[in-house]
Amino acid sequence: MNSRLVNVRLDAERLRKAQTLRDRGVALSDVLREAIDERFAALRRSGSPPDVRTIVRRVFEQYPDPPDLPLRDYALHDRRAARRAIRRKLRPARA
Amino acid sequence: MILIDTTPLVALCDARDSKHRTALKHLESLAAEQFAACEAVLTEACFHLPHRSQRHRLRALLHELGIQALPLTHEGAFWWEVFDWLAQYPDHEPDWADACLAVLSGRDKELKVWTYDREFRTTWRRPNGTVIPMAVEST
Repeated sequence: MNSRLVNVRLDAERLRKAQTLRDRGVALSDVLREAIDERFAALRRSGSPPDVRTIVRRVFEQYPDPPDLPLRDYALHDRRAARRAIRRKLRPARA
Repeated sequence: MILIDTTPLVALCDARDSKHRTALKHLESLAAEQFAACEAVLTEACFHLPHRSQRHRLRALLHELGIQALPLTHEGAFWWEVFDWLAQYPDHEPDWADACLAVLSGRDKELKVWTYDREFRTTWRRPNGTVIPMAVEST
């Protein structure tokens, strides 16, 4: 996992709470990650949603398929067909 | 939070997929939400998107849409929960990715699964037996 260490300063009261959480087996790093995710989600909810159509169009413009890219030869949305295709792909590697 | 399954993710990345337009429409309707994906789904997506351009798009969309990796931490307990869930459905032969989605749904009550697989609506349940909340209607 590509991650970076972040130091957080805590006052005495929060230090006490953090110590209690740790004593109960709670990983403080998980607490911080979850708090960041929650605040980020709240931020997204409060602002206008991203223009996802523009994002997708830009990604397709940036990374176009080559003209000779073959079509998928199985039905992805048929779970049995998709599974057979994956098995077909794995078979030669195991032979 | 919206947990994306393989089929909508692949459909978004492949304009020739039969559900590409549907997936785009669903993405628009869910745009205000936070998205997440698990490694098993990405593994499947890479099987179905073998070309370099397709994988570039997959990577770019994961980044641009801020799709978060779940579970947050790699713990062995998650694997055992997934195996336990798989063992509940021996006749239906669910995949590892299906089980991951069901288990993650059971861990977070706010989480909704975005999938086009019928079994999530008809057959599979969270580990505690409750219905897996869906992010979109059946297509």
